[in-house]
Amino acid sequence: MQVSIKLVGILVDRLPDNHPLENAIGTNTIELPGQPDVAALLTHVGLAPESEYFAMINGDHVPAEELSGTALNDGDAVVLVPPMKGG
Amino acid sequence: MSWHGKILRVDLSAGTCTSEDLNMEWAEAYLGQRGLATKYLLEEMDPKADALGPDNKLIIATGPLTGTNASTGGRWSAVTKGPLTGAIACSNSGGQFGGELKMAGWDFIIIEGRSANPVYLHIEDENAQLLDASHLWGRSVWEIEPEIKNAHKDPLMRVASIGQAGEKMVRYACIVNDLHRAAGRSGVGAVMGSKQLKAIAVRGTKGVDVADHKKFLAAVKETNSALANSEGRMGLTRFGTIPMMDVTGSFGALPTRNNREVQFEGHEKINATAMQSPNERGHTNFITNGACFGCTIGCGRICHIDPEHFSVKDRPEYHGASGGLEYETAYALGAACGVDDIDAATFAGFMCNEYGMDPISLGGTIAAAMELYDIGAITQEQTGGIDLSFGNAEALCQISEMAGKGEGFGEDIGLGSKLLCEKYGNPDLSMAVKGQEFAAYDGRGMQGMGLAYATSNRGACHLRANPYADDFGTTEPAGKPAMVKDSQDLIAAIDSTGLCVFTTHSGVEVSHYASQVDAALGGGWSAERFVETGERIWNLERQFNLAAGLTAADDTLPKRILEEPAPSGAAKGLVCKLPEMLPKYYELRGWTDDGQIKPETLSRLGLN
Repeated sequence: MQVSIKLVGILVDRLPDNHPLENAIGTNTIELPGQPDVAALLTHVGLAPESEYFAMINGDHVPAEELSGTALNDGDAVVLVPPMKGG
Repeated sequence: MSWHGKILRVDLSAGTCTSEDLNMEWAEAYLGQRGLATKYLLEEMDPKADALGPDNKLIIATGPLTGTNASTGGRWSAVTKGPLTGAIACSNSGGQFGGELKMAGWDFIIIEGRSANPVYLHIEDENAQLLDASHLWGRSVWEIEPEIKNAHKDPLMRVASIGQAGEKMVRYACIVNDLHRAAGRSGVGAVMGSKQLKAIAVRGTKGVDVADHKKFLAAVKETNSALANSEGRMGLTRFGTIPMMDVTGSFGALPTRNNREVQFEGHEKINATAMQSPNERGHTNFITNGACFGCTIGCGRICHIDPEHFSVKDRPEYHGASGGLEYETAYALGAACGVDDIDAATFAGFMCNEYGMDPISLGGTIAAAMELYDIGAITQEQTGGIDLSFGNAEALCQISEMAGKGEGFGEDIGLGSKLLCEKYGNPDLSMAVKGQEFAAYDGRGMQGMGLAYATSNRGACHLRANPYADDFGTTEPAGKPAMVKDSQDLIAAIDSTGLCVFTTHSGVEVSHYASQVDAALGGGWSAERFVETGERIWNLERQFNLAAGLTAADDTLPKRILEEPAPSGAAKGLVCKLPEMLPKYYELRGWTDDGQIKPETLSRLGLN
């Protein structure tokens, strides 16, 4: 399936050198095999799924503890968010 | 200890500068900066006084950690009655000015009266004098700051000044220091302008001591370590605050087109990626980050506009670098107006730096004007031929400059959205609380922020509470009142130290603040006392507002947020549940149902 992924803020610096994203600070469309959950997506791009960041899928909040087990569907837009506030 | 124990009192009516002792009993109860200055204000002036009249006072206040080597210890505040709100105004700034003032040997400057002619205040350590500023009047911050330094042959002098917006008493004029840092909100620059005080120029060589050197250095080292290892801090250093654009844009809490919508289709053109990526001509908006006095975060964005962009194409004076977009400015001068042009938003932000305006209120007011234009309440007859349609980047740039100079329809924009919308017959279109425009969060998607806006003592503000993590977790209102109240109290205390509130999400805990204050002041400051002091300060501000004539009816939100459901995003179909949250909030505060502070609360906090 195809999903889009956007890493917010400092998460781009968490990526390994060999990450698969075309534009780490932009929005990327990637192909994932099978029926992945959010944790599998994180593993795919090289991020540790146990971290304190949370995700938003199509605008719905997924807390850190639910990244594993939250299934992705074709066309989902995933935004990964580190701890942050505005100003 | 880290207080000099000295206040500089400047009587502009009499033309005098005198030294007096800082009230140390009050400093024990109200800590410094925001808290202590509010105490002075409440004791010395009638809160019902005209904010732009000579009876209002303007206090330039440092905290006990300002000028020390505590990380972010360069903050200072302008505390006064706000002309935008009629409420207490406390506007906090960084840069180098606050540290320099403290180094000169002054904890506070209390400015009162009104000068007959334009003047500026010149301070060199203990020597302070008022000097003629008639040659500076009518000129911008960017023109006069270097001129003052040249006149005194001192490039290390630090200057806080107003531009034409402050002189013309634009309701949201700010005080700009170090060319692009600002005490931005609530119109503190208009108060300075009303007093005909153009600038404060200061040079300090005395330094700042602390009570217990060894203990203080240990506390600073521990705090710096927490900051260094914090992901929040790393994010602020690398990207500033603008990554929030992707969070609210995705979540559905990004106020768009005057809060008609909560998601902006153009948000990826004004986000961190856009700021740090080359455009089609190879120009990148972002140059580097910048830090204030003693700061180890460095969230500031130093940016420049593409010289080929329409806003600056034949204006080389705007091709240089200045303070660029933060999340709030990108929202206000972008999404709020439906503008997806990062260089146009940066130009409008530069206008704020140069002429001295709060970009949040400027953007919020232009957004309101655009909606008035959209419904036909304003036409090109009023705008002088400008097409004020949502999304018109050229109009945004033009109107921002006109507002700064107080020219044409810019004069109406200078009223702020509340007075503007009243003037043109649609008061409900002002997205403001107590007259102050919303920051970059919609109170339907972020219910806690809705409550924080409604109850903020200085009007709508994103920096008076810390509901972010909770709000992105749930839209359920049940836990919001306690979370908002507790974070308001903590931030009130932090704002009174001389440290930056951005430390709260950069790994710094209550114990870190308390231990640094404790070592600087010579003991007695536990974490519990620190937080309780914050609660005392919050209630002190409430006392000022109640005495100024504000009531529980002012703790509310615009009709749109309370009655029009969010059209999309995580809160689709929801309005802000303020009526459910507010009574619980009052109860937790120890206030009556009509927002008065109960006698037992006043007694508990030592406020009666």
